Amino acid sequence: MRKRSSFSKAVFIGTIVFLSLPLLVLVLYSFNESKSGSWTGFSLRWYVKLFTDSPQLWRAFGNSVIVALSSALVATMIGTLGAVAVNWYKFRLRKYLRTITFLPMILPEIIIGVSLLVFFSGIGLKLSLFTVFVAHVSFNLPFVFLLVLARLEEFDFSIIEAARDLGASETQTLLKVILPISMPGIISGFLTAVTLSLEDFVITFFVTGPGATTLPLYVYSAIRFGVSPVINALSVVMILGTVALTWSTRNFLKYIAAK
Amino acid sequence: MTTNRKRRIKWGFVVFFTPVFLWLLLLIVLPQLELLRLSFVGTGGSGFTLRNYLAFFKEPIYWLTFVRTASYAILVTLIVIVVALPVSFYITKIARVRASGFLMVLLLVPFWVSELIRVYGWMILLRESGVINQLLVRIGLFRQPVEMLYNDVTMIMGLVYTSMLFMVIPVIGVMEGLDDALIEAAYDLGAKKLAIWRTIIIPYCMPGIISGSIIVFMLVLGSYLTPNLMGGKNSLWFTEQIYNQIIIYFNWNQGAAFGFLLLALSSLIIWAVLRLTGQSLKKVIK
Repeated sequence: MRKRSSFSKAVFIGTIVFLSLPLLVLVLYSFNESKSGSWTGFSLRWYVKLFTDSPQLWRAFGNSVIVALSSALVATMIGTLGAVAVNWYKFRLRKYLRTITFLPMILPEIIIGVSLLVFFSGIGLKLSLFTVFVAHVSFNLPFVFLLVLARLEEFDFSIIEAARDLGASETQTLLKVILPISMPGIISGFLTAVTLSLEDFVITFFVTGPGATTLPLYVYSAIRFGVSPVINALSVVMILGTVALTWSTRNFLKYIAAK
Repeated sequence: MTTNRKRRIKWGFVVFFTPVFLWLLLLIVLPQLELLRLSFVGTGGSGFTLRNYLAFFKEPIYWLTFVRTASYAILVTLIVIVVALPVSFYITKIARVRASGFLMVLLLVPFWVSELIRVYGWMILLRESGVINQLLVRIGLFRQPVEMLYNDVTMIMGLVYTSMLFMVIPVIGVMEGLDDALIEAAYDLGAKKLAIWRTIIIPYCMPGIISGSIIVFMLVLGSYLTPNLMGGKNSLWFTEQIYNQIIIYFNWNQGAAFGFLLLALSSLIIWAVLRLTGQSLKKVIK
């Protein structure tokens, strides 16, 4: 079969080239001395400028990190509790809860962004980093919820019953049985939430206020009006960062699965 | 004892369940309902009206933009199918098992990087003073640089780029289950390549193709960054109309109506396509 399918191979190679071309060019040209598209020589000046002379960029980065960590933390706490509730207790509302957790995942981002903007202004909440935080918790919540729930559902419910029958109190069961078994789901939920939050542009765009620029918003306004090589250097740092983060999440999940 | 335990369980339930339920109710469901209400209110804040929805059908620029956006989204979906099939075939059936894990990572890594950065990479390649222009001028193919950004072809290429993974993953998932012997047998019986694709591989992969198509179509229709940065100054993408109404004209009622039209019309298109191709949504979700 191998030799008969040169067509598939050609398409595959073409696709890989197509997919990696813009990223390779970004990496290469972040080391270019001049600002233009022609190669004028190797230089680290854009990296130097990125790390020593871009205060606005780093302020935006700080905002992004604050929002990502805080929103991921809150989403992880609330989402985990919800997943335990759905897995543990039988109740009528659980069906509805599952349906509304799917909403933020299937609705177009722009509609979530617009609806939150309308909502915040309706209740008189001023747009700021706080509204960005609230929005990020909202779209992160379903991911954490579903990841933790999937993990809990892998497990036989009888171990919880066994713990109860052997005399463990509800708190003990929760802390010594449920929490440890759902830990992989909790951690991968947290990491997913951090990644989604760091990358979000559209929703943040609508709910951000003055002085609450996040890194993607900063990058957008920088490249909207022309090319700035500092952004090339930043992109390379961000590529390395996201690849490292995703890679470790994946390997972590694999490690857990193998265990 | 029993009643006591029951009450404690109820309390635990309330504590666990309330935060997630309230959060989603207050910040996802309620804002959607508020948006829906706004879409039926006139600009001056007057009573119930259908004017915002009627405006969409009355103003050709609005519905034409939607038709344009939807047609391009369908086109992108078709292109992505055509590319994803051989790519998935190569990974699951031709590449050696050991290599396929590495090839998969090669395919995935570009998608770990944020959309903004990927689009920026294309901007560096394609802009007037960009890498490709410099190259073509230097080797003498172009006399002077040409602006390759900000047109529909580039925009479609960008959308194919950003949405491809969402087709490749489900198709690979289905294709892994296809028995190689089936293809071998067809070869041995003298079937042509095209016939094998048409009668064996594509029908077998249909569930994956359909679910991938729904995701890609919705994603492309609702995308904002790629059309905005790679399309023309007036890329006339429907999400930009929503943006314009909300942010530029400050006409939230109109913007809200556009948002719901986007949802309703896209669901309608998906429903129609499923109907036409004889697929049921239940089968796809399975």
